[in-house]
Amino acid sequence: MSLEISGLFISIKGKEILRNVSLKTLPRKATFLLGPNGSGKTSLLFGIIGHPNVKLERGKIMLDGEDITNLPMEERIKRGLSLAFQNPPKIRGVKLREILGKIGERSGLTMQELKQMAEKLKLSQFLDRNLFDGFSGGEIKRAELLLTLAQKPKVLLLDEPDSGVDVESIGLVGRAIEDAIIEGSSALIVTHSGLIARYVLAEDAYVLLNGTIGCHGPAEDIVSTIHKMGFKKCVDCFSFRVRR
Amino acid sequence: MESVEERVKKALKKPAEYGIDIDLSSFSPAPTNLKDLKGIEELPSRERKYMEEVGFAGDFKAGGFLQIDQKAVFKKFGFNGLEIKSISEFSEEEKERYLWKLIDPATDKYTATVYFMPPEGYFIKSKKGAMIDTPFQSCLFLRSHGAIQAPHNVVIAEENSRIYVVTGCTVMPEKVGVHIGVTEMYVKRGAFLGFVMIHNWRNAVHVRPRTVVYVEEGGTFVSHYIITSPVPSLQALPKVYLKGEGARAYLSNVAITSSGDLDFGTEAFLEAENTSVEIVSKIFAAGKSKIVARGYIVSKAVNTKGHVECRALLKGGEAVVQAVPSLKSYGEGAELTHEAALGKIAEDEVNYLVAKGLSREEAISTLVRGFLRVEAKGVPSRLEDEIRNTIERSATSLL
Repeated sequence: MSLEISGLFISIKGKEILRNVSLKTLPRKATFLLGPNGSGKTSLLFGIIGHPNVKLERGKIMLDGEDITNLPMEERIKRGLSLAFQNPPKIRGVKLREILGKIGERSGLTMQELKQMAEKLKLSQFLDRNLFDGFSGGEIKRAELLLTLAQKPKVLLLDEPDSGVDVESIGLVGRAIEDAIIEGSSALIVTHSGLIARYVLAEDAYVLLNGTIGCHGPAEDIVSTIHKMGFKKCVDCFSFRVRR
Repeated sequence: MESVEERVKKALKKPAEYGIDIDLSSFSPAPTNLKDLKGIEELPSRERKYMEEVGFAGDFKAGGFLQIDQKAVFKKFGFNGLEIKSISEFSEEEKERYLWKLIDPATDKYTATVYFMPPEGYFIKSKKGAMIDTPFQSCLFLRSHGAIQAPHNVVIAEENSRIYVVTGCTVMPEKVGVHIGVTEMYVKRGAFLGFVMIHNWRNAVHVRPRTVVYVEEGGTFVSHYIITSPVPSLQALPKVYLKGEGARAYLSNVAITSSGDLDFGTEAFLEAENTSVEIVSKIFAAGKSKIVARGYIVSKAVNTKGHVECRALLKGGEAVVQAVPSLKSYGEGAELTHEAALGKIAEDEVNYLVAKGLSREEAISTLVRGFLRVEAKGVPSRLEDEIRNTIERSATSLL
């Protein structure tokens, strides 16, 4: 299952955020999307998932050959997209177990299987806690990934699974993503720091700069360049190419 | 000097301090000439179903009481540690000893009306040291159209005892009327009283409960009041007096409604050292409902603690909710706090749950039920489940 977007323009409240963005994920592979803060990474994921907070102005989104550009969020989810939010909302009075159960009902996972998934992410003791209420940074990331993986997505969209987490959590998160890929998902992983690359192997990487794709290439090369020289190198390189 | 009778008679024209005024002259006292029942299975299944919705069903293991209109028609004795009577069975001496001790019958036209109605209601008294974790179940059912039902209830948790009382109040769907319940409760030294009241008045009955609770040293009063359906009007401000050192109270009020004029809450008086109270109100207001939620705490002693919390979720553009917290401390010995939050269903939470695969309707329903979920403090787990299920059922019916 692969995701391919081409010539995407996205706005929020009338302001253009992304222009002419094209990228694709490969089946059963991870793809990184890197970029500095404010470059539009989260907006791109929201655009792909059909979140009502963003408006898709132009372009096309294809999921395994089907044009899903004009489908509402609910339909895109049903077709196998799933997004792990960077900052999921705290929800009072709603337990992690309850939402997990509802997701499992749809994806066909039994509560026993869901509990095993929770155990793998060291979340068993959080099942009866209110969703994300009082969770640490790492616990939020793990719980959000649990809910996202419970959807059994064909394409995983992960918004900064490596930000604000402790080493133990990022290891658990990385392993769970790798497992999902082995089981058949493809993943588009947004990362600011590239930290997740220590735990998840990716073929391709894209760099988003100021609302457009500035660079695309082998993930290993791009991540190591950014680790060594930061996004400034990308900006300079991109500016040079644009001038030429 | 003016007699009590004369004073109460004058009060028949006295509106309540809060809430809209009801013209009681267009209603008649509910009938008293109903026949006694051996068991509730003698009732039509339709009536039993409505009673069941407010928790009046099962085997009444700890005892049961059913008042239809103005007549106690069914009483079941449960455990030995619990004395049960209907007020109409009271001797003159008992009337003198138990009735109108905590509430002045001349408080307003509603208490005055109860004063002049034929006395009926339940009397529940635990024995000293009795520990009864199965709830006593009661139901106040209004069957007659245009009637005023006015139960006068007395509950006494004797020293070092623990009891639970669940009262469901409901009406036949097509009937309109007025329900005025006067309830006087005593929590004696070291005792625990858990009191659950579920109202389902089907948008047909004006409701004016009048309740006062007196808690002695080391006593605990826990109350869960749930309004599960719209009412034309409701006004209630139970008063809880924490009179003995270390007395505590937790009062939870939940209202789920799509119409009607509701003015409700709790007023607590911390009158002894080391007393504490928590008042929590949760409201889901839809349609054209108008709601005032009050939470008043008055502290007159040292080392007291009190907290008022009011949260409301409004659905649609026509509901109106006003939170009125009030804290008053005589002297420096109190730690009193309040918080209130009124808002709509958070769109980012709805979108989040939709992104997790829930339909929009299911996402909203999940959030509303989550919002209304109260910490069912101080009640046995079975009762806690019943409280949660009742709230969830009525919230779902409104969505």
